[in-house]
Amino acid sequence: MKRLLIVAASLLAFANSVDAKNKDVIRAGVDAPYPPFEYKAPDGSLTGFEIELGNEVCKEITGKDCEWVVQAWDGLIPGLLARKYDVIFSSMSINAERKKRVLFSAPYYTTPSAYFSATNFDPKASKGKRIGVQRATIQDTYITEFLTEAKVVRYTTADDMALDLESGRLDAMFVDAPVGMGIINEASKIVQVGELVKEPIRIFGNGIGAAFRKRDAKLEAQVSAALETIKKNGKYDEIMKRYFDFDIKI
Amino acid sequence: MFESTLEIFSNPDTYLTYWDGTVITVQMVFLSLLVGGAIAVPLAILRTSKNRWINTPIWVFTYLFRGTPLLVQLYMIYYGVALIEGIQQTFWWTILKEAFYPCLIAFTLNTAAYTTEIFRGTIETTPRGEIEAAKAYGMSWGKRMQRIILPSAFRRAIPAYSNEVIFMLHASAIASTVTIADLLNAGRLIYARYYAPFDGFIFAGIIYLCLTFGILAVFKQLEKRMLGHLQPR
Repeated sequence: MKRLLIVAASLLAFANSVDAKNKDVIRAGVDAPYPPFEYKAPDGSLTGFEIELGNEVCKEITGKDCEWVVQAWDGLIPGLLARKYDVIFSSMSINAERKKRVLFSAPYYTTPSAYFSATNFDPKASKGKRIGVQRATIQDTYITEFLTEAKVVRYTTADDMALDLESGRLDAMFVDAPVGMGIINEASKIVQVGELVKEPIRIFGNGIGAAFRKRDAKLEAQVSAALETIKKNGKYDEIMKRYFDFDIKI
Repeated sequence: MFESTLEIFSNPDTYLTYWDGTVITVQMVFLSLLVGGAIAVPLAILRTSKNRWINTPIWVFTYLFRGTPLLVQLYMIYYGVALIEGIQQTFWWTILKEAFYPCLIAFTLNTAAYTTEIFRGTIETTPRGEIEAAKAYGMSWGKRMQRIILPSAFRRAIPAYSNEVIFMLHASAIASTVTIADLLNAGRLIYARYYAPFDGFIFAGIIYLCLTFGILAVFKQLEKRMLGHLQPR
Protein backbone atom coordinates (compact mmCIF):
# COMPACT_ATOMS: atom_id res chain seq x y z
CA MET A 1 0.00 0.00 0.00
CA LYS A 2 2.79 2.34 1.01
CA ARG A 3 4.67 1.63 -2.21
CA LEU A 4 1.50 2.27 -4.20
CA LEU A 5 1.14 5.66 -2.54
CA ILE A 6 4.72 6.59 -3.36
CA VAL A 7 4.22 5.62 -7.00
CA ALA A 8 1.00 7.62 -7.17
CA ALA A 9 2.62 10.62 -5.54
CA SER A 10 5.61 10.59 -7.88
CA LEU A 11 3.30 10.22 -10.88
CA LEU A 12 1.32 13.22 -9.70
CA ALA A 13 4.48 15.24 -9.24
CA PHE A 14 5.58 14.27 -12.73
CA ALA A 15 2.24 15.27 -14.23
CA ASN A 16 2.44 18.62 -12.46
CA SER A 17 5.95 19.37 -13.71
CA VAL A 18 4.91 18.62 -17.31
CA ASP A 19 1.98 20.97 -16.96
CA ALA A 20 4.08 23.76 -15.51
CA LYS A 21 6.69 23.43 -18.23
CA ASN A 22 4.22 23.80 -21.06
CA LYS A 23 1.93 26.39 -19.59
CA ASP A 24 3.59 29.33 -21.29
CA VAL A 25 3.86 27.74 -24.75
CA ILE A 26 0.87 26.73 -26.84
CA ARG A 27 1.53 23.50 -28.71
CA ALA A 28 -0.14 23.43 -32.11
CA GLY A 29 -0.66 20.41 -34.36
CA VAL A 30 -0.27 20.79 -38.10
CA ASP A 31 -0.22 18.48 -41.14
CA ALA A 32 2.69 19.64 -43.30
CA PRO A 33 3.46 20.00 -46.15
CA TYR A 34 0.20 21.53 -47.35
CA PRO A 35 1.42 24.58 -49.28
CA PRO A 36 0.88 27.45 -49.16
CA PHE A 37 -0.67 27.04 -45.71
CA GLU A 38 2.13 25.05 -44.13
CA TYR A 39 5.37 23.81 -45.66
CA LYS A 40 9.08 23.59 -45.00
CA ALA A 41 11.25 26.52 -46.04
CA PRO A 42 14.59 25.69 -47.73
CA ASP A 43 16.32 25.94 -44.33
CA GLY A 44 13.99 23.27 -42.91
CA SER A 45 11.85 25.53 -40.74
CA LEU A 46 8.07 25.47 -40.96
CA THR A 47 6.43 28.38 -42.72
CA GLY A 48 3.24 29.24 -44.59
CA PHE A 49 0.07 31.23 -44.13
CA GLU A 50 -1.32 29.24 -41.22
CA ILE A 51 2.05 28.95 -39.50
CA GLU A 52 2.51 32.71 -39.54
CA LEU A 53 -1.09 33.32 -38.52
CA GLY A 54 -0.84 30.73 -35.74
CA ASN A 55 2.37 32.28 -34.43
CA GLU A 56 0.68 35.66 -34.42
CA VAL A 57 -2.23 34.22 -32.40
CA CYS A 58 0.12 32.51 -29.94
CA LYS A 59 2.07 35.76 -29.52
CA GLU A 60 -1.15 37.60 -28.79
CA ILE A 61 -1.90 35.17 -25.94
CA THR A 62 1.51 34.15 -24.53
CA GLY A 63 3.99 36.52 -26.14
CA LYS A 64 5.77 33.58 -27.78
CA ASP A 65 5.50 31.64 -31.05
CA CYS A 66 3.56 28.38 -30.98
CA GLU A 67 5.42 25.11 -30.56
CA TRP A 68 4.57 23.24 -33.79
CA VAL A 69 3.98 19.50 -33.82
CA VAL A 70 3.84 17.94 -37.29
CA GLN A 71 1.28 15.14 -37.55
CA ALA A 72 -0.18 13.39 -40.62
CA TRP A 73 -3.71 14.47 -41.42
CA ASP A 74 -5.62 11.34 -40.44
CA GLY A 75 -3.95 11.35 -37.03
CA LEU A 76 -4.56 15.03 -36.26
CA ILE A 77 -7.73 14.77 -34.17
CA PRO A 78 -6.63 11.58 -32.35
CA GLY A 79 -3.33 13.38 -31.58
CA LEU A 80 -5.22 16.34 -30.14
CA LEU A 81 -7.37 14.07 -27.99
CA ALA A 82 -4.22 12.24 -26.85
CA ARG A 83 -2.78 15.60 -25.66
CA LYS A 84 0.15 15.66 -28.06
CA TYR A 85 -0.78 19.30 -28.67
CA ASP A 86 -3.50 21.70 -27.48
CA VAL A 87 -4.80 23.19 -30.72
CA ILE A 88 -4.94 22.26 -34.41
CA PHE A 89 -4.06 24.94 -36.96
CA SER A 90 -4.19 22.77 -40.06
CA SER A 91 -6.78 24.00 -42.57
CA MET A 92 -9.47 22.02 -40.80
CA SER A 93 -12.97 22.74 -42.11
CA ILE A 94 -15.63 23.20 -39.48
CA ASN A 95 -18.34 20.58 -39.98
CA ALA A 96 -20.93 18.72 -37.93
CA GLU A 97 -19.09 15.38 -37.99
CA ARG A 98 -15.93 16.88 -36.49
CA LYS A 99 -17.88 18.99 -33.99
CA LYS A 100 -18.86 15.74 -32.28
CA ARG A 101 -15.21 15.28 -31.28
CA VAL A 102 -13.66 18.71 -31.03
CA LEU A 103 -14.41 22.32 -30.22
CA PHE A 104 -13.86 24.86 -33.00
CA SER A 105 -12.79 28.49 -32.83
CA ALA A 106 -14.48 31.15 -34.97
CA PRO A 107 -13.55 30.53 -38.64
CA TYR A 108 -10.36 32.28 -39.77
CA TYR A 109 -10.38 31.60 -43.49
CA THR A 110 -12.40 29.89 -46.19
CA THR A 111 -11.44 28.49 -49.56
CA PRO A 112 -13.33 26.67 -52.27
CA SER A 113 -12.30 23.23 -53.50
CA ALA A 114 -11.29 22.69 -57.12
CA TYR A 115 -10.49 19.99 -59.66
CA PHE A 116 -7.01 19.88 -61.17
CA SER A 117 -6.18 17.82 -64.20
CA ALA A 118 -3.68 17.34 -67.01
CA THR A 119 -6.24 15.83 -69.37
CA ASN A 120 -9.11 18.32 -69.46
CA PHE A 121 -11.21 16.37 -67.00
CA ASP A 122 -14.89 17.29 -66.88
CA PRO A 123 -16.63 16.77 -63.52
CA LYS A 124 -19.93 16.26 -65.34
CA ALA A 125 -18.50 13.29 -67.29
CA SER A 126 -16.75 11.51 -64.46
CA LYS A 127 -17.82 7.96 -65.24
CA GLY A 128 -14.92 5.54 -64.71
CA LYS A 129 -12.44 8.39 -64.17
CA ARG A 130 -9.86 8.13 -61.43
CA ILE A 131 -10.12 11.04 -59.01
CA GLY A 132 -7.58 11.55 -56.23
CA VAL A 133 -8.51 12.91 -52.81
CA GLN A 134 -6.83 13.04 -49.44
CA ARG A 135 -8.32 10.36 -47.20
CA ALA A 136 -11.09 11.53 -44.85
CA THR A 137 -11.07 15.16 -46.02
CA ILE A 138 -14.29 16.98 -46.93
CA GLN A 139 -13.22 16.57 -50.57
CA ASP A 140 -13.25 12.80 -50.01
CA THR A 141 -16.78 13.01 -48.59
CA TYR A 142 -17.96 15.16 -51.50
CA ILE A 143 -16.57 12.94 -54.28
CA THR A 144 -17.76 9.76 -52.57
CA GLU A 145 -21.25 11.19 -52.29
CA PHE A 146 -21.72 13.13 -55.53
CA LEU A 147 -19.46 11.56 -58.16
CA THR A 148 -20.57 8.01 -57.53
CA GLU A 149 -19.58 6.83 -61.00
CA ALA A 150 -15.98 7.93 -60.60
CA LYS A 151 -13.28 5.79 -59.02
CA VAL A 152 -12.08 7.46 -55.83
CA VAL A 153 -8.38 6.99 -55.07
CA ARG A 154 -7.50 7.95 -51.50
CA TYR A 155 -4.08 9.27 -50.50
CA THR A 156 -2.38 9.88 -47.20
CA THR A 157 -0.55 13.02 -48.33
CA ALA A 158 -1.18 15.66 -51.01
CA ASP A 159 2.38 15.14 -52.30
CA ASP A 160 1.79 11.50 -53.23
CA MET A 161 -1.39 12.54 -54.98
CA ALA A 162 0.35 15.27 -57.02
CA LEU A 163 3.00 12.74 -58.08
CA ASP A 164 0.38 10.32 -59.35
CA LEU A 165 -1.50 13.13 -61.12
CA GLU A 166 1.69 14.11 -62.92
CA SER A 167 2.57 10.55 -63.92
CA GLY A 168 -0.93 10.06 -65.35
CA ARG A 169 -2.26 7.59 -62.79
CA LEU A 170 -5.06 10.01 -61.94
CA ASP A 171 -7.45 11.77 -64.30
CA ALA A 172 -7.97 14.54 -61.77
CA MET A 173 -7.49 15.46 -58.18
CA PHE A 174 -9.96 17.31 -55.99
CA VAL A 175 -8.33 19.55 -53.41
CA ASP A 176 -8.47 22.92 -51.73
CA ALA A 177 -8.09 25.49 -54.52
CA PRO A 178 -4.97 27.22 -53.09
CA VAL A 179 -3.20 23.89 -52.56
CA GLY A 180 -3.84 22.90 -56.15
CA MET A 181 -2.69 26.32 -57.39
CA GLY A 182 0.58 25.73 -55.58
CA ILE A 183 1.11 22.54 -57.51
CA ILE A 184 0.35 24.13 -60.89
CA ASN A 185 3.43 26.30 -60.67
CA GLU A 186 5.67 23.30 -60.35
CA ALA A 187 4.25 21.23 -63.22
CA SER A 188 2.77 23.40 -65.94
CA LYS A 189 0.71 20.79 -67.80
CA ILE A 190 -1.66 20.52 -64.84
CA VAL A 191 -4.46 23.10 -64.86
CA GLN A 192 -7.51 23.88 -62.80
CA VAL A 193 -10.64 22.57 -64.53
CA GLY A 194 -14.38 22.87 -63.93
CA GLU A 195 -15.99 25.24 -61.46
CA LEU A 196 -14.92 25.97 -57.92
CA VAL A 197 -16.97 23.98 -55.40
CA LYS A 198 -18.25 25.44 -52.11
CA GLU A 199 -21.64 23.76 -51.74
CA PRO A 200 -23.27 22.04 -49.93
CA ILE A 201 -22.41 23.71 -46.62
CA ARG A 202 -23.38 20.44 -44.90
CA ILE A 203 -20.10 19.03 -46.27
CA PHE A 204 -17.88 22.03 -46.90
CA GLY A 205 -18.76 23.74 -43.66
CA ASN A 206 -18.53 27.35 -42.74
CA GLY A 207 -14.84 27.86 -43.18
CA ILE A 208 -11.63 26.80 -41.50
CA GLY A 209 -11.28 26.90 -37.74
CA ALA A 210 -8.76 26.01 -35.08
CA ALA A 211 -9.75 22.84 -33.18
CA PHE A 212 -9.52 22.19 -29.44
CA ARG A 213 -10.38 19.44 -26.98
CA LYS A 214 -13.96 19.93 -25.80
CA ARG A 215 -12.92 20.70 -22.24
CA ASP A 216 -10.52 23.49 -23.30
CA ALA A 217 -13.20 26.15 -23.75
CA LYS A 218 -10.98 28.76 -22.09
CA LEU A 219 -8.18 28.35 -24.64
CA GLU A 220 -10.77 28.40 -27.43
CA ALA A 221 -12.10 31.75 -26.20
CA GLN A 222 -8.56 33.16 -25.99
CA VAL A 223 -7.69 32.05 -29.54
CA SER A 224 -10.97 33.30 -31.02
CA ALA A 225 -10.40 36.68 -29.35
CA ALA A 226 -6.82 36.84 -30.60
CA LEU A 227 -7.95 36.02 -34.15
CA GLU A 228 -10.51 38.83 -33.93
CA THR A 229 -7.78 41.28 -32.85
CA ILE A 230 -5.44 40.23 -35.67
CA LYS A 231 -8.19 40.50 -38.26
CA LYS A 232 -8.91 44.05 -37.08
CA ASN A 233 -5.40 45.42 -36.63
CA GLY A 234 -4.29 44.62 -40.19
CA LYS A 235 -1.80 41.85 -39.38
CA TYR A 236 -4.12 39.28 -40.96
CA ASP A 237 -4.21 41.17 -44.29
CA GLU A 238 -0.48 41.64 -44.20
CA ILE A 239 0.12 37.86 -43.92
CA MET A 240 -2.61 37.01 -46.41
CA LYS A 241 -1.14 39.28 -49.09
CA ARG A 242 2.16 37.47 -48.85
CA TYR A 243 0.56 34.16 -49.86
CA PHE A 244 -2.60 34.81 -51.89
CA ASP A 245 -3.76 37.13 -54.61
CA PHE A 246 -7.41 36.46 -53.69
CA ASP A 247 -9.33 37.12 -50.51
CA ILE A 248 -9.74 34.19 -48.14
CA LYS A 249 -10.72 36.20 -45.06
CA ILE A 250 -13.98 35.29 -43.36
CA MET B 1 -15.12 5.61 -25.99
CA PHE B 2 -17.85 2.95 -25.95
CA GLU B 3 -20.33 5.26 -27.64
CA SER B 4 -18.06 5.63 -30.63
CA THR B 5 -17.38 1.88 -30.72
CA LEU B 6 -21.13 1.29 -30.77
CA GLU B 7 -21.55 3.94 -33.44
CA ILE B 8 -18.86 2.37 -35.62
CA PHE B 9 -20.00 -1.22 -35.38
CA SER B 10 -23.73 -0.57 -35.60
CA ASN B 11 -23.19 0.93 -39.05
CA PRO B 12 -23.40 -1.76 -41.76
CA ASP B 13 -21.08 0.37 -43.92
CA THR B 14 -18.25 -0.51 -41.56
CA TYR B 15 -18.54 -4.22 -42.30
CA LEU B 16 -18.81 -3.51 -46.02
CA THR B 17 -15.58 -1.50 -45.86
CA TYR B 18 -13.78 -4.32 -44.08
CA TRP B 19 -15.24 -6.95 -46.39
CA ASP B 20 -14.03 -5.09 -49.49
CA GLY B 21 -10.60 -4.74 -47.93
CA THR B 22 -10.46 -8.43 -47.00
CA VAL B 23 -11.36 -9.45 -50.54
CA ILE B 24 -8.58 -7.29 -52.03
CA THR B 25 -6.00 -8.55 -49.51
CA VAL B 26 -6.87 -12.22 -50.06
CA GLN B 27 -6.94 -11.74 -53.81
CA MET B 28 -3.55 -10.08 -53.88
CA VAL B 29 -1.84 -12.53 -51.54
CA PHE B 30 -3.32 -15.54 -53.32
CA LEU B 31 -2.36 -14.35 -56.81
CA SER B 32 1.17 -13.36 -55.84
CA LEU B 33 1.74 -16.69 -54.05
CA LEU B 34 0.40 -18.60 -57.04
CA VAL B 35 2.51 -16.83 -59.66
CA GLY B 36 5.51 -16.47 -57.33
CA GLY B 37 5.39 -20.18 -56.51
CA ALA B 38 5.19 -21.09 -60.20
CA ILE B 39 8.25 -18.94 -60.95
CA ALA B 40 10.13 -20.31 -57.94
CA VAL B 41 10.07 -23.99 -59.00
CA PRO B 42 12.19 -23.70 -62.18
CA LEU B 43 14.38 -21.05 -60.53
CA ALA B 44 15.06 -23.35 -57.57
CA ILE B 45 16.05 -26.21 -59.89
CA LEU B 46 18.38 -23.94 -61.87
CA ARG B 47 19.73 -22.48 -58.63
CA THR B 48 21.00 -25.94 -57.61
CA SER B 49 22.87 -26.26 -60.91
CA LYS B 50 26.64 -26.58 -60.60
CA ASN B 51 27.14 -24.39 -63.68
CA ARG B 52 28.13 -20.96 -62.41
CA TRP B 53 26.56 -19.14 -65.38
CA ILE B 54 23.14 -20.54 -64.55
CA ASN B 55 23.48 -20.45 -60.79
CA THR B 56 24.82 -16.91 -60.25
CA PRO B 57 22.10 -14.79 -61.97
CA ILE B 58 19.45 -16.51 -59.88
CA TRP B 59 21.50 -16.00 -56.75
CA VAL B 60 21.69 -12.29 -57.63
CA PHE B 61 17.90 -12.16 -58.07
CA THR B 62 17.15 -13.82 -54.76
CA TYR B 63 19.83 -11.79 -53.00
CA LEU B 64 18.39 -8.50 -54.29
CA PHE B 65 14.81 -9.30 -53.39
CA ARG B 66 15.60 -10.84 -50.03
CA GLY B 67 18.14 -8.16 -49.22
CA THR B 68 15.89 -5.09 -49.60
CA PRO B 69 12.66 -4.20 -47.79
CA LEU B 70 9.47 -5.07 -49.66
CA LEU B 71 8.34 -1.47 -49.19
CA VAL B 72 11.37 -0.21 -51.13
CA GLN B 73 10.70 -2.72 -53.90
CA LEU B 74 7.07 -1.60 -54.06
CA TYR B 75 8.04 2.09 -54.30
CA MET B 76 10.66 1.32 -56.97
CA ILE B 77 8.09 -0.48 -59.11
CA TYR B 78 5.11 1.81 -58.42
CA TYR B 79 6.86 5.15 -58.85
CA GLY B 80 9.68 3.78 -61.02
CA VAL B 81 7.55 2.64 -63.95
CA ALA B 82 5.87 6.05 -64.13
CA LEU B 83 9.27 7.63 -64.78
CA ILE B 84 9.99 5.51 -67.88
CA GLU B 85 9.92 7.93 -70.78
CA GLY B 86 6.78 7.63 -72.90
CA ILE B 87 5.28 4.67 -71.04
CA GLN B 88 2.00 6.57 -70.67
CA GLN B 89 1.38 6.17 -74.41
CA THR B 90 1.94 2.41 -74.52
CA PHE B 91 -0.41 -0.49 -73.92
CA TRP B 92 1.43 -1.34 -70.68
CA TRP B 93 0.21 1.83 -69.00
CA THR B 94 -3.41 0.63 -69.02
CA ILE B 95 -2.22 -2.15 -66.72
CA LEU B 96 0.40 -0.30 -64.69
CA LYS B 97 -1.82 2.76 -64.16
CA GLU B 98 -3.84 0.91 -61.54
CA ALA B 99 -1.95 0.52 -58.29
CA PHE B 100 -2.98 -3.16 -58.19
CA TYR B 101 -0.59 -4.48 -60.82
CA PRO B 102 2.65 -2.75 -59.77
CA CYS B 103 1.86 -4.03 -56.31
CA LEU B 104 1.18 -7.55 -57.53
CA ILE B 105 4.47 -7.54 -59.46
CA ALA B 106 6.43 -6.45 -56.38
CA PHE B 107 4.77 -9.07 -54.15
CA THR B 108 5.20 -11.83 -56.75
CA LEU B 109 8.91 -11.18 -57.27
CA ASN B 110 9.46 -10.93 -53.53
CA THR B 111 7.73 -14.18 -52.66
CA ALA B 112 9.37 -15.88 -55.67
CA ALA B 113 12.79 -14.98 -54.27
CA TYR B 114 12.05 -16.41 -50.82
CA THR B 115 10.31 -19.50 -52.17
CA THR B 116 13.21 -20.18 -54.55
CA GLU B 117 15.58 -20.34 -51.62
CA ILE B 118 13.21 -22.54 -49.59
CA PHE B 119 12.92 -25.04 -52.45
CA ARG B 120 16.65 -24.90 -53.18
CA GLY B 121 17.35 -25.87 -49.59
CA THR B 122 15.06 -28.88 -49.65
CA ILE B 123 16.22 -29.98 -53.11
CA GLU B 124 19.83 -29.92 -51.96
CA THR B 125 19.10 -31.86 -48.79
CA THR B 126 17.45 -34.76 -50.59
CA PRO B 127 19.03 -37.89 -49.01
CA ARG B 128 21.89 -39.13 -51.17
CA GLY B 129 20.68 -42.69 -50.84
CA GLU B 130 17.46 -41.87 -52.67
CA ILE B 131 19.34 -40.28 -55.56
CA GLU B 132 21.79 -43.18 -55.75
CA ALA B 133 18.92 -45.64 -55.79
CA ALA B 134 17.27 -43.70 -58.61
CA LYS B 135 20.55 -43.71 -60.54
CA ALA B 136 20.88 -47.44 -60.00
CA TYR B 137 17.48 -47.87 -61.62
CA GLY B 138 18.89 -46.06 -64.64
CA MET B 139 16.73 -42.92 -64.35
CA SER B 140 17.85 -39.88 -66.32
CA TRP B 141 18.31 -36.45 -64.61
CA GLY B 142 14.84 -35.38 -65.69
CA LYS B 143 13.16 -38.54 -64.45
CA ARG B 144 15.02 -38.31 -61.14
CA MET B 145 13.81 -34.75 -60.66
CA GLN B 146 10.26 -35.59 -61.60
CA ARG B 147 9.87 -38.83 -59.66
CA ILE B 148 12.23 -38.63 -56.70
CA ILE B 149 13.73 -35.26 -55.88
CA LEU B 150 10.90 -32.75 -56.44
CA PRO B 151 8.06 -34.69 -54.77
CA SER B 152 10.22 -35.26 -51.73
CA ALA B 153 11.60 -31.70 -51.74
CA PHE B 154 8.14 -30.12 -51.93
CA ARG B 155 6.92 -32.20 -49.02
CA ARG B 156 9.84 -31.25 -46.86
CA ALA B 157 9.36 -27.58 -47.84
CA ILE B 158 5.83 -27.40 -46.44
CA PRO B 159 6.68 -26.19 -42.88
CA ALA B 160 9.02 -23.44 -44.12
CA TYR B 161 6.64 -22.49 -46.89
CA SER B 162 3.73 -22.04 -44.48
CA ASN B 163 5.82 -19.35 -42.80
CA GLU B 164 6.34 -17.62 -46.13
CA VAL B 165 2.57 -17.65 -46.77
CA ILE B 166 1.87 -16.03 -43.40
CA PHE B 167 4.63 -13.46 -43.88
CA MET B 168 3.20 -12.60 -47.28
CA LEU B 169 -0.26 -12.05 -45.79
CA HIS B 170 1.16 -9.64 -43.24
CA ALA B 171 3.53 -7.96 -45.70
CA SER B 172 0.57 -7.30 -47.99
CA ALA B 173 -0.52 -4.61 -45.52
CA ILE B 174 1.99 -2.22 -47.12
CA ALA B 175 -0.17 -2.20 -50.26
CA SER B 176 -2.26 0.46 -48.51
CA THR B 177 0.65 2.90 -48.86
CA VAL B 178 0.09 3.05 -52.63
CA THR B 179 -3.66 3.69 -52.43
CA ILE B 180 -4.81 0.06 -52.67
CA ALA B 181 -8.01 -0.41 -50.69
CA ASP B 182 -6.82 -3.49 -48.79
CA LEU B 183 -7.64 -4.63 -45.28
CA LEU B 184 -5.29 -2.22 -43.53
CA ASN B 185 -6.66 0.60 -45.69
CA ALA B 186 -10.15 -0.32 -44.44
CA GLY B 187 -8.80 0.05 -40.90
CA ARG B 188 -7.33 3.45 -41.76
CA LEU B 189 -10.60 4.55 -43.33
CA ILE B 190 -12.60 3.67 -40.21
CA TYR B 191 -9.92 5.34 -38.10
CA ALA B 192 -10.12 8.53 -40.14
CA ARG B 193 -13.90 8.50 -40.49
CA TYR B 194 -14.62 8.16 -36.76
CA TYR B 195 -11.26 9.38 -35.37
CA ALA B 196 -11.06 6.04 -33.57
CA PRO B 197 -7.64 4.42 -34.08
CA PHE B 198 -8.17 1.54 -31.65
CA ASP B 199 -11.46 0.30 -33.05
CA GLY B 200 -10.35 0.71 -36.65
CA PHE B 201 -7.05 -1.14 -36.37
CA ILE B 202 -8.09 -3.76 -33.82
CA PHE B 203 -10.88 -4.96 -36.06
CA ALA B 204 -8.49 -5.13 -39.02
CA GLY B 205 -6.04 -7.03 -36.79
CA ILE B 206 -8.72 -9.53 -35.82
CA ILE B 207 -9.47 -10.23 -39.46
CA TYR B 208 -5.74 -10.79 -40.15
CA LEU B 209 -5.72 -13.20 -37.21
CA CYS B 210 -8.66 -15.12 -38.66
CA LEU B 211 -6.98 -15.34 -42.07
CA THR B 212 -3.77 -16.60 -40.45
CA PHE B 213 -5.79 -19.17 -38.55
CA GLY B 214 -7.25 -20.42 -41.83
CA ILE B 215 -3.78 -20.68 -43.40
CA LEU B 216 -2.48 -22.59 -40.37
CA ALA B 217 -5.38 -25.03 -40.54
CA VAL B 218 -4.73 -25.77 -44.22
CA PHE B 219 -1.01 -26.33 -43.64
CA LYS B 220 -1.63 -28.51 -40.61
CA GLN B 221 -3.74 -30.83 -42.75
CA LEU B 222 -1.12 -30.76 -45.52
CA GLU B 223 1.66 -31.66 -43.10
CA LYS B 224 -0.38 -34.49 -41.65
CA ARG B 225 -1.02 -36.00 -45.05
CA MET B 226 2.22 -35.30 -46.85
CA LEU B 227 4.73 -35.52 -44.05
CA GLY B 228 3.13 -38.30 -42.03
CA HIS B 229 6.04 -40.63 -42.78
CA LEU B 230 8.51 -38.19 -41.25
CA GLN B 231 6.60 -37.63 -37.99
CA PRO B 232 8.13 -39.07 -34.84
CA ARG B 233 6.18 -42.11 -33.72
